Amino acid sequence: MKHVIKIILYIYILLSLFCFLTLVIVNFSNRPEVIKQYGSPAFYSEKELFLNGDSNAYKELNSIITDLWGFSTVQASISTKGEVKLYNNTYSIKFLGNDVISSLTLTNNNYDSMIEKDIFKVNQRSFPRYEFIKIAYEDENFICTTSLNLHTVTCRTIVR
Amino acid sequence: MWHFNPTAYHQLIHVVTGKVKRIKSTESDTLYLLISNEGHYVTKKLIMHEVWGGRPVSENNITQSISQLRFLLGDSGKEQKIIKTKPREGYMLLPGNVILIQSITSTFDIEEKNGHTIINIEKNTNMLLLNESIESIKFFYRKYVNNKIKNLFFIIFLIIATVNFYNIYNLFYQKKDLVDLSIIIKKEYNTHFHLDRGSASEKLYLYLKDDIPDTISHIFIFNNPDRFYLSCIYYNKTYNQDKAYNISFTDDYPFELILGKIREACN
Repeated sequence: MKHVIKIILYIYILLSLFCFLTLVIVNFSNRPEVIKQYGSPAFYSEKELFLNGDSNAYKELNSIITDLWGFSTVQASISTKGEVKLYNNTYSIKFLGNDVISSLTLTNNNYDSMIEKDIFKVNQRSFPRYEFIKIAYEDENFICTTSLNLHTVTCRTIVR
Repeated sequence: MWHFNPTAYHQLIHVVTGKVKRIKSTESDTLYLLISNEGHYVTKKLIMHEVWGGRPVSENNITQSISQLRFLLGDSGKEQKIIKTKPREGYMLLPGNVILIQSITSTFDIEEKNGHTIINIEKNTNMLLLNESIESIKFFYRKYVNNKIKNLFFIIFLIIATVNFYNIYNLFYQKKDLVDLSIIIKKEYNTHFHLDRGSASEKLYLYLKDDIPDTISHIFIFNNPDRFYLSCIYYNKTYNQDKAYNISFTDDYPFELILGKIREACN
């Protein structure tokens, strides 16, 4: 009996490893063109938010770091237009197929809650905060993504 | 190769595999005698004298004892690779097969008298106790700690596997519930309009389509219950290159102000 339980647990561990390796393969085979071409590119974007009559402009630089398993981490530096550095966020992203990317916030210095309060509230509803992003447009200079959860859209300039 | 400690619970320990074996006292004494005379033949008479204390026992007892020792050490009467037999003479332990633990050997004194090897066993109690303790610790480690470390690693792997399952399940479970966002692309003059299927986006598109500057090649209009999100890719004459800009408005923001902002920012 003890032997049988041990075998079942070994199968459980092997299945888990199999799932992990499947995810590695799915992630690797669905990389967007820009990552296939440039490996670890950076993206630059500018945005302006109008809220209650006020407007705030931000610049954002995203750099992508890929680990040994092929999983990528996005490091986002967001600053106001006056170059005052405000926030550094980190997201873990996985390419899941059909131009769909999952994004999980690893570190967030209250960026969402302070700047994009309404987005933050919407995002709170989706447990446990996986955000799914679709590539809406991609060419050699720009990549535009939209959030499937929140229907936002952002166009970024590819910095090689 | 084996380690032999006559005072330990498991007297024989295999050096490579760590396999332990317990042997009977007569066999232990016989092996000890053979080790003490390693590389030399030990007569049956001497074995009988030293092991059985001169009691009248048949030679069969010695033969059986040697046979059992051979079996324990992985030898046989046919091969004789560890214990060799010289008919009508005695037995010899071939060197390099069994090592007596040094701390024990120091407590024995071997002397030659009238052509016989006489072993005086001076039992150093402290040394034997220490040796026994070391062996007990080694035995305990092999039997329990070794298993515990294996079990600990097994449990760690189980936890990692469970966390991995949870994360992958969570990821695909949430993705399953997600409705794919279809995007409509409409071309007006030189501008491509990318819209989600929301009616608000459609309304804004109809308002903007005839007044958008021709420097804009792509404009994205997306809407959620709270806000409009617009992105434009445009040709910047000053820098002589394409640029991108993202703007977001609350959904009650007047369309004419949105158009004004696009004209200002994406030009």
